[in-house]
Amino acid sequence: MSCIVHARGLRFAYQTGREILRGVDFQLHRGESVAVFGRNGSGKTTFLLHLNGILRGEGHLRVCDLPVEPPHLRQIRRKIGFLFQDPEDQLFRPTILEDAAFGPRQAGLSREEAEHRARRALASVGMEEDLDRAPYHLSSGEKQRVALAGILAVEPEVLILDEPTTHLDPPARRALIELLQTLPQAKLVVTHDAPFARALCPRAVFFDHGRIVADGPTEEIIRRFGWDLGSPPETSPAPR
Amino acid sequence: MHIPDGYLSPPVMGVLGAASLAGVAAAARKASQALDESRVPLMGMAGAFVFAAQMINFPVAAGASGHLLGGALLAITLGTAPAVVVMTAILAIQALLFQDGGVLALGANVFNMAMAGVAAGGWAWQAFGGPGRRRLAAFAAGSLSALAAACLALAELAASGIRIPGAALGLALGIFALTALLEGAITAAVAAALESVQPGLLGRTHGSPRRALSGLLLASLLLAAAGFLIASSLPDGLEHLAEAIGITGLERAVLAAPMPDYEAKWLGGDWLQKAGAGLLGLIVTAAVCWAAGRWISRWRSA
Amino acid sequence: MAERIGGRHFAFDEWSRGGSWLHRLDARWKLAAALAALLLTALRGEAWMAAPLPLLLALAARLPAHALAWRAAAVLPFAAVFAGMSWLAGDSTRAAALLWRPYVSALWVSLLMAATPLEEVLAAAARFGAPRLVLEVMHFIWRYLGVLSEQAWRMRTAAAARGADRSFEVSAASLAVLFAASYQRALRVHRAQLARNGGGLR
Repeated sequence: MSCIVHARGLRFAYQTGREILRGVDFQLHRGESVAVFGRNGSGKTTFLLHLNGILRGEGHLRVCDLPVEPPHLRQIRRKIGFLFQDPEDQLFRPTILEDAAFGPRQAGLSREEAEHRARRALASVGMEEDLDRAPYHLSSGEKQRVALAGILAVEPEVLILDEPTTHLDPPARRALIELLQTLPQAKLVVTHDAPFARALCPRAVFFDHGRIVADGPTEEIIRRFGWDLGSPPETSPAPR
Repeated sequence: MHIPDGYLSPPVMGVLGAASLAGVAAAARKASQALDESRVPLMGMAGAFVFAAQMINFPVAAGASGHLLGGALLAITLGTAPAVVVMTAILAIQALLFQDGGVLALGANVFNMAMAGVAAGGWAWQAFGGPGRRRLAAFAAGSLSALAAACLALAELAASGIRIPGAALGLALGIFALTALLEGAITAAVAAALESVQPGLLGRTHGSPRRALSGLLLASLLLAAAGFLIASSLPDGLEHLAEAIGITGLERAVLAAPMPDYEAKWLGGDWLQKAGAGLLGLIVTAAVCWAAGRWISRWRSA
Repeated sequence: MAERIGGRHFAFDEWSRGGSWLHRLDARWKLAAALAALLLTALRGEAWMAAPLPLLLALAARLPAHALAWRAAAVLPFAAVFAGMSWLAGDSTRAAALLWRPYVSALWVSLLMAATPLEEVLAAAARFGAPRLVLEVMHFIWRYLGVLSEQAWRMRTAAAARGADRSFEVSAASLAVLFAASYQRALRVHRAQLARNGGGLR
């Protein structure tokens, strides 16, 4: 099975009736890295939240060959590692080690085994010291790495990152790119950061008003929609 | 007002502790059903909000300023049972990590601020609320909540034998009244601002007559506390009070102290024994009223 | 006067992760012992003589006794008012008691929290029968009160920079915005928990 995310005709609307997703077609293959572009409010994050069943819409959606429905959600949420935009929202355990071990613990592992996995994951992101400290004193880059370790500890197949470079300074950005490049998982990265997308993702999709309107090589998408400050768009997205 | 450890007498501590344990356990059960699955983050964040909110100053006059206490606002936005749980959590954190209020005294502080204060706020919001009257209801909720908590605290201190001369009492009550008005104003202003920032955050109001019983209970508790305070500052006031309530014979039995040391230190005189029994009696009466009220309304709606 | 919640309030987090013999004791014993110490302090007149004990234990556990003594002093302003009233009424023994009782009690509580991480105290309380929901909410409050306080502080500074910090309405608006932001954050945290297969904290 090389297709690990398969969405067809995905629709979602709030209870108030406001439509956010208007028929999304998308496929993600094993090991692929895809950048997700689009204006704020075009449905990018909403779409991602469907992939691990946090939001439930209509249409066809399969992740790792499983339907995204209650009996399968626990398994899907282990296979999909979701890195939220603000690591502050993601680190809720008292110490770094405990937070990284949370996923494995929830998967039923013993405390020793969970901590072993957590240490391994933390080492892989370069966090090896002070693991018994509280995470609040870390820099945003370090917090993000701890959050990433927490996700890697359960050995996911897909990594979803929601605007990961927002709070990072240039050295931290570079470090994140280097780190992500070493990870074999498929990646879906929502980002406004064109250079970051270029460095990491050969393929990109462009969201507009709840649909994917373009899917192709990253450089082409960036140029077409003017997603890099240096160049104006060849075609502009529909006005709001 | 956070009561520190070592101020309350054992009967007061014991009765309030028992009442709080029962009340908080009941509120926790109810809160687990009331909000949806995201309740722990919501309640926790509301609690953290109260701490953070204390850093925003509300100017009063001539350089003085106050800050939000929070019980009423929590009741309005989360509902009464969750608000009780959140306030309890806040008070416990304050006692353990900020040395604000005692740990043994948590029973009393929870009773005053997390139960009576929140209940008063929630009741006022329901009772006075209605279309176009939300600001007024929020003001009433804030004021009553702060006033109830403060008066109960002072009454408990007096009942424990802490000497409060009449003049100081008057001053304290004056400060409580001002604090209550300020809390009312802040609660009303924040509630109104919340309506525009994110409507739907404020609980709905029914203004139903079923609430009248709990309102009556609260009123009686407050009157009792107020009356007690006034009586305690008069030389024979408490004896008369105890006789009037008809519990003069009880004090020996109730206050047979297990530790003779305690009796000597805490009960410096005959009138204070009666005072202890008096407050005990009032609280028992209040508990009976509340239980009766619940039973009656359940019977009525069955 | 509301003070900024800053580094010093999280000192307990640092202190409680030490490795001394006291730190390694089971939290249930420490909690029970602390409660017993508090009861004795409240009920026995001679308990003032045991006042140095928490400080000695702190030293033995390699904790900063002077810092604990200073934290406990937070109770003194309030206590002084009531002690003063008793003293003016001529009862100096009671006045003294109204000072040392809360202070020594605060010393014991500070020692407990300096030698035991909060989550262990909460777990011990759970074993003793405290309602789980209250404990989970407490854990959450402690985790996020720093984050929200920073946000509140930034709002306060921003308002002051615009010359608007002396207005009742501005403060009310700030609180409303802070509350709404806290609410949104709570939803995000909940989603992050769901994404990692956690529905609550345990």
